[in-house]
Amino acid sequence: MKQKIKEHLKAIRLIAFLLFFLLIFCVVNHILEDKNAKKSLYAVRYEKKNTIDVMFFGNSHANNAFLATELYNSFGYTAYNMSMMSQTYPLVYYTMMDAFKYQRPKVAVVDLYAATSYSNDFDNVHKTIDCLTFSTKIHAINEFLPEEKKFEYVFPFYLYHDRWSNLEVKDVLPYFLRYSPDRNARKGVTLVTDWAVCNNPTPELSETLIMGATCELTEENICWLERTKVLCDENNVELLLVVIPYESGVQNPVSQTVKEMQFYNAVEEWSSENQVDYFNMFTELDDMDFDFGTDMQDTSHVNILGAQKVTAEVGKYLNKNYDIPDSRSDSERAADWDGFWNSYVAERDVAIQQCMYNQKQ
Amino acid sequence: MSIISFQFIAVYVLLLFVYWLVPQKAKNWVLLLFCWGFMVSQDWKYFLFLVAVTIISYAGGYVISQHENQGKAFASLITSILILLGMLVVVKYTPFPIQVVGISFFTFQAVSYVIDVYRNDTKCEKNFMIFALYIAFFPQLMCGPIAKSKEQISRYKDDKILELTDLEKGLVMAAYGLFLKLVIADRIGIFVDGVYSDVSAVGGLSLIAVILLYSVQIYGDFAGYSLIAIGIGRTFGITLPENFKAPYLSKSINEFWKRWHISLTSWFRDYLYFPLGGNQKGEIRTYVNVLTVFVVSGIWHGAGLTYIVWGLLHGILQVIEKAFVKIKNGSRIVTYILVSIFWVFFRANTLGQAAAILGGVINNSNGYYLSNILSFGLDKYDFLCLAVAIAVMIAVDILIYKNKNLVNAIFRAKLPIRWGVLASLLLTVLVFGVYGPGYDASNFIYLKF
Repeated sequence: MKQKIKEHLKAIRLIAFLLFFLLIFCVVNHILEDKNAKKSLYAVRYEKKNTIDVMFFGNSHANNAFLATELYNSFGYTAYNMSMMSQTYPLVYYTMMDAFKYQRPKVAVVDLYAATSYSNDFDNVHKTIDCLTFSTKIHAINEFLPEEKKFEYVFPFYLYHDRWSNLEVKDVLPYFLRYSPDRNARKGVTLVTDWAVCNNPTPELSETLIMGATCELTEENICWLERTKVLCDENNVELLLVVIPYESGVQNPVSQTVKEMQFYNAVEEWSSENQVDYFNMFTELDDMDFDFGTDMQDTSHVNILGAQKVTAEVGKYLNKNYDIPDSRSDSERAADWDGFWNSYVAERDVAIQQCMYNQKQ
Repeated sequence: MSIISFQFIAVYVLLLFVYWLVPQKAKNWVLLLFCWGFMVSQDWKYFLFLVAVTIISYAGGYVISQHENQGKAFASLITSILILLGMLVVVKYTPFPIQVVGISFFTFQAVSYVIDVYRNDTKCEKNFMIFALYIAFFPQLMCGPIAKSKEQISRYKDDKILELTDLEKGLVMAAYGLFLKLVIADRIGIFVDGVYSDVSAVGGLSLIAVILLYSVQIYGDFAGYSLIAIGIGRTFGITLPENFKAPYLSKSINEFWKRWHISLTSWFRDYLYFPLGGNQKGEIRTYVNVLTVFVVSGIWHGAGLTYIVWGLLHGILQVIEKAFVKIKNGSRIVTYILVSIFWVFFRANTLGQAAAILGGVINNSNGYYLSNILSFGLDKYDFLCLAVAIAVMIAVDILIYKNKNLVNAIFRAKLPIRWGVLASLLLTVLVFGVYGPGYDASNFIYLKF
């Protein structure tokens, strides 16, 4: 009997050690994980539940372009930008699936540039998948990643463990401090101050836009568009597909943009057949006062000046087509969001000044 | 599946659970099936070789034991050895299309068995399952330690009783092995590979650094593997022979070989040096025997001339020590430097490359500087990490050299210290180990032997 008790105690000791080790490992993992990649997508979990009215999805195009906090100041919409660089459309879908666990927005705005390519930059895919909750992550990994990549996505420590030589003080901050809404007043947005002189849309592009020339959507395109629509319908979220102005992809020739415009036109047809809202800002360039000479960071992305115009335009569209309540009249929300706005606007003004300074140089 | 992959760890944990849950009689079967499955997971053709070596040596041992006539027994012994070594020679030293991983190690175990049976040092093992397990025990299958039948077979027959302390001790040994391999050896490997890829561009001091560091790399790599194997064995209640005993603290080449790759050295001592007459047939014959053993040892490592020169240099130094210097308490530093110089021949692809490296130390047109030492894949933090890790390794080796049983000392300490040591070791390996996407978990230096 004594022997048995002794054996049980030993087994308990072993289990206690494993738990002890797991605890320490979690702390080390927390310190070493790549926060820069994680911050914006992860921080949405710390927003008060169901307080976001508009969510933006897409890749770096959208991440630079939709200034979420501006929408609160101009229209009273509480918004969050869930876009992340190098996201392809399937990743947009998983990000959306995960976001709806925390927030049930009125409208989900998806930038279609993410749907123009399905080739994945697997280093950057980490920036999205590592931020997903475990169940969504496993879902995404099983469906989306090649076999040889799966391990490092399930256990990203495999990739991040050698960050020990780049640690900063902020790495040891606990999650709730690191990702508190106050620290994330930009609501996921990257403020871009760089500037490049870009060209207005070519006649060929304008013709494609006006004439509505299309291409055939692939099965993959249609599959992911449909899945996104179903996901939004299931969660009572309106889906709005948008196109943000750009000259061409960073590594693509301008002629590629014409093909992409044909793709957008095809999506427009699909949208009208499936009762999904569609808004191509290339048709509103004059109304937006968009200037390719001042508003672009490079041929592909808008800078802070362009972002203000894109945000104002999408705000107007939302205001005209959706019934989103003005949170400025909700005292509880206004107390939080006025604070976010004050923090944000100081940061934004510095960014604008820096951008204009860059242009003068 | 490499022994240090996450895939292996998952399978190992599962095996451990099954092994300790099944009844005593089934334990060895579980292990054997896993060992064979492990070999199939490498390549089913390797498995065929393993089974062939097992059957030949099993049958050889049986036939030898059946002959009462010494002459016939000897003929059977020679036949068995010729077949076993013949297979090894064909696979390893001819352009044979299949390079069987671990064949040098398990063939030597098989040869040790038939010789031990012939010498009556061990009884013929009738239980095929036990014998097959002796040949195929998975932790040692790829890189040893090479266990001799007279010591090892009985260990598989003993009843296995789960002792959690054994489990913990085994894990500490394996974790320290991983530390040597992933934190030290693989980090140095990046630097060494970088320098060896273009020796002509490297300054004299960097060459000296690479020569001295390669000694640490090969030690970390091989002793690391051995400790992982011994540690894993212990978690199954099976003791494997010691393979390293602080070799770089040796005061002579002779002492070095009593502490480096002990299982191979003692194999050569028992099955080659002694049959050649050892030191019993006069001084000259002793020297010839020593030289023969070391040349054969070089050839065992590979067919290249570099290995033979490496073995010969060690043999010559041993003869000089025995004949002229009579060293008992030489200089550790001189021994380390000599061993490190010899390792250049072991590491170099050709004798020309070895000459270029050693020549570059003496007369280097790039000058004697360390300024480009950070351009071979390691940054200053890596070197700092290496310095601390090597200091830990030296401290542990000093204790081993003084015959202090470190593992037992840890487990005599209070619980928080034991847990602290084990958790620190594992975390150190997880954080500071060189692994991740693109890392080849099967790049043990001794895997190619």
